[in-house]
Amino acid sequence: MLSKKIILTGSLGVGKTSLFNQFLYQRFDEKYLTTIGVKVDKKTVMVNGRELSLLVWDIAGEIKQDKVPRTYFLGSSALIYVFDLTRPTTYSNMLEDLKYLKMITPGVVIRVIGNKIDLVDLEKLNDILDKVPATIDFTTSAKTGENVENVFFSIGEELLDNA
Amino acid sequence: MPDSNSGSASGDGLCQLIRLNFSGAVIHSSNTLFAVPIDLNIVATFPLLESIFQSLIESNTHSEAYEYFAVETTFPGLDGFYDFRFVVLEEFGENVIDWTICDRTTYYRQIQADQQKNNEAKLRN
Ligand SMILES: Nc1nc2c(ncn2[C@@H]2O[C@H](COP(=O)(O)OP(=O)(O)O)[C@@H](O)[C@H]2O)c(=O)[nH]1
Ligand SMILES: [Mg+2]
Repeated sequence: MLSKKIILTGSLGVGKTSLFNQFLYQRFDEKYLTTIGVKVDKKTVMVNGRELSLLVWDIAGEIKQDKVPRTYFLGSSALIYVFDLTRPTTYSNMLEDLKYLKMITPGVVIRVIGNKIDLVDLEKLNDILDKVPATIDFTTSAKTGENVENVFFSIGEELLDNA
Repeated sequence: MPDSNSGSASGDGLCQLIRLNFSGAVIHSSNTLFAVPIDLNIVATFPLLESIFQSLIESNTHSEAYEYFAVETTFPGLDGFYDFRFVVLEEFGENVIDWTICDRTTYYRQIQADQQKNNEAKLRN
């Protein structure tokens, strides 16, 4: 079976671990627990009738992406750049971060995710989206599960198209 | 499957060396933290290893070591924090991967407790 490595990255507290737990184990915890290193687990998904094994990396959040150890990106096929819709500091550095990530992982599929959509109402969301400096691919909630599978599924589709 | 019962936090501070060939089969293991049978292919058992295995094979022998700190594994029995180090080298004409796993659970639990306080303060602002 084809397997692909996906990294969740982005600033502290944006919900990387929560998205990981929701996608891998359908679990959510309100209580914050600091990630200090890396955790990897895999899940098989069906994409357009084909089985694909996704190897998902949850890593410690860094305020700036150039602080993330380079070895973490070894062999990755996709990156999910997560920010917190409720905290502007988590997207203020986005353009620089994305530029850096594209430079060190050329050709890798990237998704930009605004998480914690359950905490913002529609009116507020438009305000926020105006302020976010890059195009957002999905808004998600690790809490309710909204769009979480879709993020990984869309990555799977693009990876299979490229394969 | 490797024998998970022999792995536990009681191995704190200890390191295990596992040598793999380029097919992913165990050539040698010190079995310090957990027992792995020789010849067993363990790549799929450790998703971190599985994710980078192809890249390791494609890297040059005697290239730099690939290091991952404070790894949380999903392997039953290895339920603390571990430092992983991979070195690709040629030994007696065969390409191999030396994987060192060090149990650093106590150390990283302390770091985690410290960072937890710091990060909670940051997230409140
Ligand atoms: N309401 C809500 N809270 C979330 C969501 N995702 C994460 N959180 C909370 O935000 C905090 C940080 O989440 P975590 O996954 O640890 O962030 P990480 O540092 O990026 O791994 C935790 O208290 C989570 O419960 C979400 O979608 N909605
Ligand atoms: Mg985390």
